[in-house]
Amino acid sequence: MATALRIDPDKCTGCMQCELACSWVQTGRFNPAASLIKVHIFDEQAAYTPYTCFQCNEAWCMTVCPVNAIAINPVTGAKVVLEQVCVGCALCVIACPFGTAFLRPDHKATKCDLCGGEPACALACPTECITVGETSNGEEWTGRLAEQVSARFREMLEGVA
Amino acid sequence: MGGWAGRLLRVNLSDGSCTVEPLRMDWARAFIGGRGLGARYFCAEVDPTIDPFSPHNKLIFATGPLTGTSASCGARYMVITKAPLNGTITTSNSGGHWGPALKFAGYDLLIIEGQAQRPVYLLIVDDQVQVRSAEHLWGKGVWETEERIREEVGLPGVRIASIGQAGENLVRFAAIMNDLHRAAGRNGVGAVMGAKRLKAIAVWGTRGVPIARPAEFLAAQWRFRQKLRASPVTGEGLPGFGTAVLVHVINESGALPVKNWQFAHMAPDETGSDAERISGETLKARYTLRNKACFACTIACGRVTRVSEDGRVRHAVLTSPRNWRAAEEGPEYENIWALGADTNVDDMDAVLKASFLCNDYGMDPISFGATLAAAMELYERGYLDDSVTGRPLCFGDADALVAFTEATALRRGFGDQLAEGAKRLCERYGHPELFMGSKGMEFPAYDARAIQGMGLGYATSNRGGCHLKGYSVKAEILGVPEKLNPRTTAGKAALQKKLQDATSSIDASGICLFVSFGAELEDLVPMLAAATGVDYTLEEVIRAGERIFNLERLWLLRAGFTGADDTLPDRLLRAPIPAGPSRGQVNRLHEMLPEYYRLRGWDETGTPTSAKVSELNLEEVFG
Amino acid sequence: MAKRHVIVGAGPAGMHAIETIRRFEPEGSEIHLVCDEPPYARMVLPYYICGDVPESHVYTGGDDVFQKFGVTPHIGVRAERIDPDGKTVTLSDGTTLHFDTLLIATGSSPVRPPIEGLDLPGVTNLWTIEDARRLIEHTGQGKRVVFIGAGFVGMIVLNALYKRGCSLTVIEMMDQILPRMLDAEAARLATDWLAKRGVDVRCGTQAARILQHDGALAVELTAGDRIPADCVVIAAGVRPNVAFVRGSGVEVDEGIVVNERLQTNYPFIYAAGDCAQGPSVLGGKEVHAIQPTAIDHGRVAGANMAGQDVRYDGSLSMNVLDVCGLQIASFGRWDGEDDIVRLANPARPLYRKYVFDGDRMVGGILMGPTGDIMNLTDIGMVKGLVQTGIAMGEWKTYLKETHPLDLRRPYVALGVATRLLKRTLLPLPSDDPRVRPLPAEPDVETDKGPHHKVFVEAYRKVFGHS
Repeated sequence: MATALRIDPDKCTGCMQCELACSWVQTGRFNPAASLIKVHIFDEQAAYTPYTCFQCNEAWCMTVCPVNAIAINPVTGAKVVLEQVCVGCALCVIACPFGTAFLRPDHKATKCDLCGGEPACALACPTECITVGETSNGEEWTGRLAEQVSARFREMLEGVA
Repeated sequence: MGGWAGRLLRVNLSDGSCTVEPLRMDWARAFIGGRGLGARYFCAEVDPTIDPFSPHNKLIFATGPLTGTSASCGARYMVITKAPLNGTITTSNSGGHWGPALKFAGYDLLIIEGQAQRPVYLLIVDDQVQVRSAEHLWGKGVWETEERIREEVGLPGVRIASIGQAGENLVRFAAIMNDLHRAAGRNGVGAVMGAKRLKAIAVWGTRGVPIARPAEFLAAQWRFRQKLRASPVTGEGLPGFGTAVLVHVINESGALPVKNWQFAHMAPDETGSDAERISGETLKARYTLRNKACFACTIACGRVTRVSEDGRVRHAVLTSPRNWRAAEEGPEYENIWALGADTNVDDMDAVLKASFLCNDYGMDPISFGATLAAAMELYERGYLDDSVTGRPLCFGDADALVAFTEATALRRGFGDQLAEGAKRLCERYGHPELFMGSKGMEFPAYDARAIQGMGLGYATSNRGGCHLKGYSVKAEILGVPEKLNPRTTAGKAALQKKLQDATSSIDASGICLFVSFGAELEDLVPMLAAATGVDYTLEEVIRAGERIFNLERLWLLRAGFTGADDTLPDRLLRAPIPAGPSRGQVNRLHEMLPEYYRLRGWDETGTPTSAKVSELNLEEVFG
Repeated sequence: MAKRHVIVGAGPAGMHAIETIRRFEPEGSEIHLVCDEPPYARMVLPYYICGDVPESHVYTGGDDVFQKFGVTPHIGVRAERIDPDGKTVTLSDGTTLHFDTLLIATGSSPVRPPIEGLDLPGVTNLWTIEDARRLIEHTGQGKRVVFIGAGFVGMIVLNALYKRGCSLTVIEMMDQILPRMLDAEAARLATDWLAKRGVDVRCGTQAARILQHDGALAVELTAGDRIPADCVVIAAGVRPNVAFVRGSGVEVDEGIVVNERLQTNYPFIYAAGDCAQGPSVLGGKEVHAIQPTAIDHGRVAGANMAGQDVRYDGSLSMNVLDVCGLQIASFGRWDGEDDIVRLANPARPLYRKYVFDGDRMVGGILMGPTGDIMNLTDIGMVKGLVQTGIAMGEWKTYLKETHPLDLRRPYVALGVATRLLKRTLLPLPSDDPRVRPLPAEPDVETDKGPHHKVFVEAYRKVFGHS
């Protein structure tokens, strides 16, 4: 049974509790710079959303790795960085077209691993914008958000005298 | 250790030096952080008698130990300086993301000293601090300043606090804006920044905030959050309507000042205006796009709104912010009141536009709206005419509201006089009695004739007419934690003292004051203890609050204020509210003030007794 | 008789082809792997040199892998001749192998520049594991190393030797470092960064010869100067290994020309990786001698060899490089200058450039210290925009005129992620746990780490469940 983050951008308030929780899990400190989930804040379009690895089917990060340092957790389906194996070449960072693979300051790759099935970001989210389900709704929510941001952007352009 | 970063950054703009100092941990423990710790450093370093615009004034940005943690609403920083508006010590508070960023960079405090020769901005990225030229940003609004700085720094995550044209032009109620919409709004802190020629402070931090006792802290912050969720105010009211929900509530209590406090109830048959048109409900139905939270906030009282098509066309200004068509944050209740009710402009489009302009120019909408209302009364009474104002200036004039928002920030025409604040304006035209404020600062949005305790709060606030340092409206109107009769004075002295001390503690912790609608100080103490590793007790935290309040008071007295300044305008003390639910009421300050002094341990002149000073360990502060 | 696949070359293209063939064809076919070296990841050699990983870490396949995929290995031998009409390949040990499908994945080799003294002891390339061992032997704390060539390989080795504490000099013929990865402005910032770290960078100069002098080496420049050295690293670029194919009838241009199914002009002969000249996602056919292309090629070729019909959109040229803590990523046609956004903060330094063709983003460069850029979504988002070639419309103007730094908004508004989530390279998802299983059974508690545990326990303590 796979684990997936389900996201409803309409519920995001931009509070960063997910970033705080994630950074806590990564580092044992509150440090959003180390968070693997990033909140997009688009004030002009009044659009906010948390954004992290979709655990996509193509797994660009995993396939590109020269040392097979990214593997699949059979329980959650998450693609997990094996720290002992990673050499820090950062190919996953440039190969991931979603921008959700990162390189830590200590030169190890890092990405969302769904916290082993119990994502801290979802626990921390105060508005149920991030919840946990069995399948991802990535296609649906990114599509919906794209329409919303585009529409408000167009309204803004049309308004410029 | 945790909570505190344990370091402060000192930047001297006169010589460009930037130094990192270890935090005085004995002070940190006694004054907690934020408002308290900032005031402790300020009082140790700044002569109370200096001119606020002189290079000797300092500007202290202070976070608290909970700033940047997951504690609900741990987003706050305070600005401590000598106020250009009224010469008090000020402790202006703001949310957003900037305060946490300063903390993540590893600093509890940032102390700005001296004065730059040419406009500069400060870039802080962890241990790297740069003073950079801001010549190209001078004259620009907040939106553009933030965008330009972010681009030239090249770090998308950089957080920026800046001043707009109002701060540059030394408008006495200029604000410091951060994250576009959030303001350290009152007393003119932005003008101090302008006088120092400091356009902005850009911060990015990657050091994070450590926690002394993680398991304990995390459990405490979950409990705290649970409590806020369960409260009707922080769990439903504020998330549902934002602060603007108060327009109706306060109006129906007959406590909504209208027309420079000539009225306290907005109604078509009394004031010719309709509160419905500027209510939280109208805002929600017609303008609000969504809710927005500050950093770590689980309440999300912020509103993101947009002016309607009509508003844009009708209220044209000369220098539109370039993101004009976009959504903006606000307006808060106080903005709606000052720009709407006090000026009697019940036109939400105009109020929104003026509010957005205030954000972009970096100007306190409360003092601005109140000053404009005073000018309107001067005008209507014939003490001012078109030769001075350059245009008619009657109550209810929406175009005048928008036009003077711009003119004041830019100090153009009559705006140059408005930029001095209501007290100076009223004095200039020979009618100081029309100034509605205390200790030189304009009041906010609650008529003290209808809410007795609030009057005492205004009179004794250390920064002048302010609701945020002892918000008794909470008990007297909203019934939190229990409803008290707003018309009576009994018990209000004790209420104010308790609130003022508790507020000082909350302001010191780095948490938003709004948590006090849903939680008590005792809910905050376990987070403070677990984060810092100091075994704070409730008593100790309350005592710290009292210590902070008295510290500010001692500074004020040294700055030349006396007990005689603990007062309210004659209109509130002697002129009964003419109509509405609170008709006939005046504020009975004299019934509360002596008791308040006694409870505070102050003598009859309002001076803390030496016993009180030593009880609070404040003897050494002023040497 | 069972169908027989012959794979020549055990680099990433060859190994991924084998893995992919077996996903579609678990049994019933033979796979022969021909390679003069054992399978290892060349990309990992720099990390071996600087001591981050042991030598064992670089190997990507051994008997266990061959057994798992049913591969007959021919290691230590080279393919010498191909007979497309007879469907045979002749090996250096004299064997002739018949094939049904052939994959040529022979990679590339370093160029030998016309410089005297290349064979002196202490002069080396860095390409093979042998080179790596030699380099380790000749370098160390305080040793003087001169690089001839400041391209991608030179710089990645330079970074490894910087970590080993060597004293470094770089000689580059062109007037900037990384001429195939950075534009002049970015190169200047990177050069300053290197100079601040004590690396002596000399561009626009050429080595004439390497000589032995007083028991050490010296590099003599055409201008006459001599630079003393304990070790000289030749990094003058690479070229495809296609010599043995020439004359066989298989079409060769810069590399072996392949179509979108990775077939050569003989449909049963495939080519992949550094030696192949395949479709580029930006149009035309190009040699992209990079790991991601090798892997894509290997996978597409492998699938087609196993009877699938997989068509490749084309490869995207991209590189990422750590230059002594300064991270550099470049994509696609980063070298364009006509229609671009450029943003630089030389003080840090931070640099970014987006290149457009019409309303599509076709390339970019992002550069900055590790902590500044490697935790952003921006690098990957540039990749996504270029990869999908999405029409950006007014969002291009937004980037150019309003918010050049705000890549996230156009990316989100254009629904790039939505589009990418719909596609996989192969007709099977890549994320089958059997493809990349965890090395051991997941240990649920330790996997989550100590901080997660504290976080969740506190939550449960308050709310009773999670």
